[in-house]
Amino acid sequence: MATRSPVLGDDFVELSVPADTRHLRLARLAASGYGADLGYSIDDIEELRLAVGEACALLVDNSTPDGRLVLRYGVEGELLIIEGRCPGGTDDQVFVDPVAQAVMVNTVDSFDIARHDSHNSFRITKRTPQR
Amino acid sequence: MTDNEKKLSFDLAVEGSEAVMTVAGELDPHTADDLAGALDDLTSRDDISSVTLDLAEVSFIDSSGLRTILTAHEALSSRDAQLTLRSPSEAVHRLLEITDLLEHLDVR
Repeated sequence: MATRSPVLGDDFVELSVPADTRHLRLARLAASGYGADLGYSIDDIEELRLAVGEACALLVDNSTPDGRLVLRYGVEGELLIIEGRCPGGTDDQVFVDPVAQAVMVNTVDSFDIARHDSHNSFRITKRTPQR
Repeated sequence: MTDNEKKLSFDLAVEGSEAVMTVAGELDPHTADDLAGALDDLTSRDDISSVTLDLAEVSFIDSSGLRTILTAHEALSSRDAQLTLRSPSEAVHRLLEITDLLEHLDVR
């Protein structure tokens, strides 16, 4: 059973997959589905799909061999929040190259990636559509 | 999921010094290496002076796919050969726009 999220409470969708690039499309697919349920436009959904794929690729690229990528999709107030975490395999900060950085800046409202003692994590926010 | 289920395919047609590669599917970190390998073979051939990538059927592309294309562009430019991106899909067009590369590559 998933543990309660300090930000999202209990109302979130969780996806856990092996930290392997072949599963990135599942993370993107979940983002598309969750975004569609929230009423985002097709363009916004495509941007979300792109951003989640980029963020997950960064974690997977820095993962330990048997690590799992865990994603949570939820809403807090007027924000869609997507959090990801994965066991990290290096001591360095995760490097975000300029192309990936440009993608994140232009597709979501905020993107943070952080290195912790034993894992890396990211947090994406995007304002939910006006109802 | 096996590698047989990769969601990317490409076909190559070479006529004289011109090569056309038609790419279809999802171009992400799981598939970009396959395309990079095929493009490496092509860009290293001295008898090829022009490579066209037909991207009309690319349903998804991220920075890994774009880097693969940029690497091919640099390899070809370094020997005065040409890379053209033909009929970019909406996904490709969006990424080129976001990254400000639409004006820097030959897109038709």
